[in-house]
Amino acid sequence: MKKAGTKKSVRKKLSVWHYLKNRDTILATISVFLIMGLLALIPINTHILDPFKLALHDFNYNDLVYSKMGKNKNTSIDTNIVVVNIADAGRLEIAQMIQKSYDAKAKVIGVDVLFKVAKDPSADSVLNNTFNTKNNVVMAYNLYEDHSIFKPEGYFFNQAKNKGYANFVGEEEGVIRYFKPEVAYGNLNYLSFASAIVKVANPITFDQLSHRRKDFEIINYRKSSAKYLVVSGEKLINGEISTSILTNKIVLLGYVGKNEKDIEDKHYTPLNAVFTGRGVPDMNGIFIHANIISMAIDDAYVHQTPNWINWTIAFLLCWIHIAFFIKYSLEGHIWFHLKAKLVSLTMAVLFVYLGLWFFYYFDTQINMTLTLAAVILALDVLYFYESFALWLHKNWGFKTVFHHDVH
Amino acid sequence: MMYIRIVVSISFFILGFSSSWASEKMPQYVVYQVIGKCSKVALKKVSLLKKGDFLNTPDVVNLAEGSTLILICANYKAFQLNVKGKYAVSTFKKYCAKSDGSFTANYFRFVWDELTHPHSSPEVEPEKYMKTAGAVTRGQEKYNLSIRTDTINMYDGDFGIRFTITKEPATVKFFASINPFKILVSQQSKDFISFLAFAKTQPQPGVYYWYINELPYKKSNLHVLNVLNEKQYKTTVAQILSKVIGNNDADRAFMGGFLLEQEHFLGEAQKYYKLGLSLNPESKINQRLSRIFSESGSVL
Repeated sequence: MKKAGTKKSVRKKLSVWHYLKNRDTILATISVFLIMGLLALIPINTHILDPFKLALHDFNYNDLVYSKMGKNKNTSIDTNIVVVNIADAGRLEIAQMIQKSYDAKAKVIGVDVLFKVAKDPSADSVLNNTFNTKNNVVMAYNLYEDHSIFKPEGYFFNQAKNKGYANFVGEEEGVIRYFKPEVAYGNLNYLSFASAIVKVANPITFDQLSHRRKDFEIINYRKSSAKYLVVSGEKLINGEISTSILTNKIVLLGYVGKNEKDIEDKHYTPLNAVFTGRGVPDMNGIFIHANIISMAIDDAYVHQTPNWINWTIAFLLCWIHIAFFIKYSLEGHIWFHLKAKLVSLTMAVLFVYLGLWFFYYFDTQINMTLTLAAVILALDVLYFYESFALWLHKNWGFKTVFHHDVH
Repeated sequence: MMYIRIVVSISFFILGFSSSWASEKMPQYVVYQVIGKCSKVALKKVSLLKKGDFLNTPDVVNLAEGSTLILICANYKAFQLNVKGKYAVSTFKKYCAKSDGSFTANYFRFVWDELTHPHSSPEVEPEKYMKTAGAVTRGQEKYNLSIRTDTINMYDGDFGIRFTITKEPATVKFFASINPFKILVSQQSKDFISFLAFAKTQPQPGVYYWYINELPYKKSNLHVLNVLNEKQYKTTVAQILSKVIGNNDADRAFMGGFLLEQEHFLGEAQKYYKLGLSLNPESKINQRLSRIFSESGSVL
């Protein structure tokens, strides 16, 4: 980098604070954000040329908090929720499991099974009656989009008193990190399965969830599937299990995989040890719903910093970086280029660490992407800014700390 | 300049080689559906087309006014003709191309699509990313077979197995081969598959296929029929039955039926279950027997 003064001159060493106040530092910092804005405005997706972006598609560094740093690894067993494993049970058996749970005075019974079409008339009749008459039974259904119109899909949809869509938010075959508490479409309002269960189990908690007015919620995976009590539906029907364990509990009827290789209704979650690329799905849908429900009941939502905070952090950190870079480039540091690159890399690692630290300890996600982008771009933009400032100096007498001499 | 010429020459050579290699893979066709009047001219003989007929490159197809002909290519692509006229089968290759361009064209199409199609994310438009339902399905299948096995070993076909279906009646088809498709028997049924009609075609030992109501190119829905010769069949059945133990004839018959069912000899299993039932009419096996098997006979 070129600097002020002649080749032989030794520049007086100034404090970083001096450079922070310097006009070039501020203008270079603004340039970084202008370049970021310009890149964002390009109407093509440059990621096609970025193998890292393609390889890390659907990657979120916050997943590392669960999969590598063991967030929530030592949480206790959930005592509010009991999962009843329906295994390969048919509709009639499922109806019997609901009845058993109902007789045991469960607080709410969530049936995480999709009944898309008619099947056996007698079993359908029993189920229909169950969903239609029992106030504490919540039925799951599939909500699908057809030409931008949301439509519910479920054979008992119209008859069911309480119902919720079982859909999560995420890429197809991707990691499930979010859920949408409700979908409003025209005059219609569809509740998610977890929201509908919370509404029956604890209306005050449901009000809190509704008042958050979030377009989507980040699922706080506080409990792995091992942290939920699972009972066999078959044994429940056969009377081999005392139904008292279901009394006053949130009972979720769903499919629990027979083993690790059984991937029916299994999804990728941030708990997956393989956090990039393709591993084996790690969590049954019923446990994801359970995590959402317990998150709402325990008021353990994941918070996100507002965008203005993310931008402010990015600007401040970029500003400090530029000040350091200008200081060391001008003060005759022969190793400047190498050191600046190393500093950028080190800072990138540090910022990710800070982001993860906040999430780990405070359930708060800070979007450090802006900061990372700004810091990584800072050095290259500074080179450009220097040339531009020198051109302005030569043609318009623009005052700058940079000089044509090369160090 | 010389360098550019060499590169261009190599490119043309590669493209030419690719296309000539592709053209050698002549597709075969099977008639999937005929509506109206369609005929083919093969070796100067005119014949009306019907489901399951083959068409080869030298043949010519005639479509009458208002007719529709649906054909399946060897690579499972299907296409239809519905305009009156005469068609040389040799011109159908274009309908069977798996992709619409060369390797190079497809690559640049991918690049173009990636560059131009709008990218979003679950965080920005969550409602667009709600295609994953966290629940299992009960009752989505168009049909439910009474058996879990994918393969049935048989020699004669005097048995039937049950199924339930949401749309009645179902069409059950038996194939001699799937590439190209060669349909041996097509039958309609409400609730059971009779293997008798298939057996009456006197199939030679080998592998055959059958499916219910699904398009044939869905390979996952194909079921396998392993037709054995008489000697091999009887030897294997005898080996299976040699493991049978029990306190009385009825028990032994039930166990024989169970072991044969496990080894996919369903016809023979049915016989032993029936035998056991005749010896012990009180047995609960009667429920199992009626749930899985149906009496063979005429179909609808």
